[in-house]
Amino acid sequence: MTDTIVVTGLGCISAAGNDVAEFESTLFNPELVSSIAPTNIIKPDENIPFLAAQVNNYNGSDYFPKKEIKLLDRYAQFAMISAEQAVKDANLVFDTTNKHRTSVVHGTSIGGQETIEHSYYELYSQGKSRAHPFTVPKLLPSSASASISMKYGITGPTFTTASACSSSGHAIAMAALMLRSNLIDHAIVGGAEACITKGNFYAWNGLRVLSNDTCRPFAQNRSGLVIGEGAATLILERESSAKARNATIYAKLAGIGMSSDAHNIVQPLTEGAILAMEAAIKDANISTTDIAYVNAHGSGTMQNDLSESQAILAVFNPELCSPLVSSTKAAHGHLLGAGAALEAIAVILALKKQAVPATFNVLNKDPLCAINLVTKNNTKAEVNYAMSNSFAFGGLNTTLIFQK
Amino acid sequence: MDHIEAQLQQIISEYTEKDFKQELAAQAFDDLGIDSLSLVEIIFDIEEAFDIKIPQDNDLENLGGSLNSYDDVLQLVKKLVKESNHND
Repeated sequence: MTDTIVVTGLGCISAAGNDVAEFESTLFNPELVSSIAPTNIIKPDENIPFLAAQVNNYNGSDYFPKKEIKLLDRYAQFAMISAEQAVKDANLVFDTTNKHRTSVVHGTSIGGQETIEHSYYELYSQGKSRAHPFTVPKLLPSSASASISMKYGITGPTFTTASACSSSGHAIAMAALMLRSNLIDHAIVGGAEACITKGNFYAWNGLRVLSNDTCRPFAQNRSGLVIGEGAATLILERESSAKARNATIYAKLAGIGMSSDAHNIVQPLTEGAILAMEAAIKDANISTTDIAYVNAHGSGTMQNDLSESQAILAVFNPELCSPLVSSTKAAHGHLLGAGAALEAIAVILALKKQAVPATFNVLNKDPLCAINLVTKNNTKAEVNYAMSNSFAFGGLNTTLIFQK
Repeated sequence: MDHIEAQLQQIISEYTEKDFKQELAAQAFDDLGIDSLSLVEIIFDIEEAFDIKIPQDNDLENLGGSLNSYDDVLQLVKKLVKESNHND
């Protein structure tokens, strides 16, 4: 029997809080306070509502010395901050006994977008004739994983997963497979994103999926998604190793499911979502009735929310069970490549608190999304297993199941 | 047929295999083989061609407009072009 994989450390930074305690307080606060507002990172522009879920009062120099921050794009800074919180939380020290057997897998959808746009602005708009020497090291989507590895001297498998909004879901899944196959003993996994930039907003706006009021997943009057930023990191290890070192165990990673729609670069396919959820349930060796809570991908777009509702209703036969469903994206925004990791933490907190975080901003539920949507915050529930969905453009899907 | 209609038909015909005929005008884009991704591109082409801004879907719904068929789009574009000329 394969050793169970457990989560022993958590770290995060987002608009919903600069660490896990703040995140927990925002998510489960009975007074719903949305963190979505016009960003102050980009100059206002009549063409686009620059609504974002931005990390509050962030100043990189509060976290990094001058020499270090020069080499880190904003997304990599967030990755480092969340990783440091998680490693500390897990009470892990890396030395010659474990550094070869530890892996860093961090996901990002875009990588160093701020660095790319800054450099192009200088070249194309300001007519500069040279790019800063750190442009390449900063923009690489693998720079966050590499930086975490360098900080802790970790010499095991280190790489970045990039599958748009499922990036950190795939990161967690890849690390779980390496732990199961005994290739590694510990994994620092998660995702980071920081793309509140003019070019990126114009690009997303071109797809007509950005909300012009706020993020209202599964609501009748939903208007689209709101870009968020930040990072989340989890420490994974086998249960035997966690117990041997008396680590705090937050939850078990009971099942992973992955699928591809093989359909369309932006339109989701219900069947692909069903495949991912069913694969995770099979992997966890449980039945649908065991799952009390689903943290939906719930991006707030017309298409995702309808397709995901249909998929949830297909997997969870309403005659047998009707798990509580919420999307926490209305609280923390759509963190793209970091979303799955941050929402995994939301699920783990739900298991810990035996309560379900609400879907913020829903005035009227969309009757076409006939799921058991939670809109009242801190809803108490007996949750032994909880599921988290991440469905990405390109139809790349991941589902994770955590157990108390 | 005025120039708005002519230009609109030219834009939309780039996205469908079917020859444009008047009886297709009321048919849903879905039935003409125009999916939502193509529609996003069509909206972009229209905004570029007529120098107008098509409202977001939720705003459009509140205004009682829709983008389901050629007729819907034609009605909306004529209205927006007229408003834009008035503002000039």
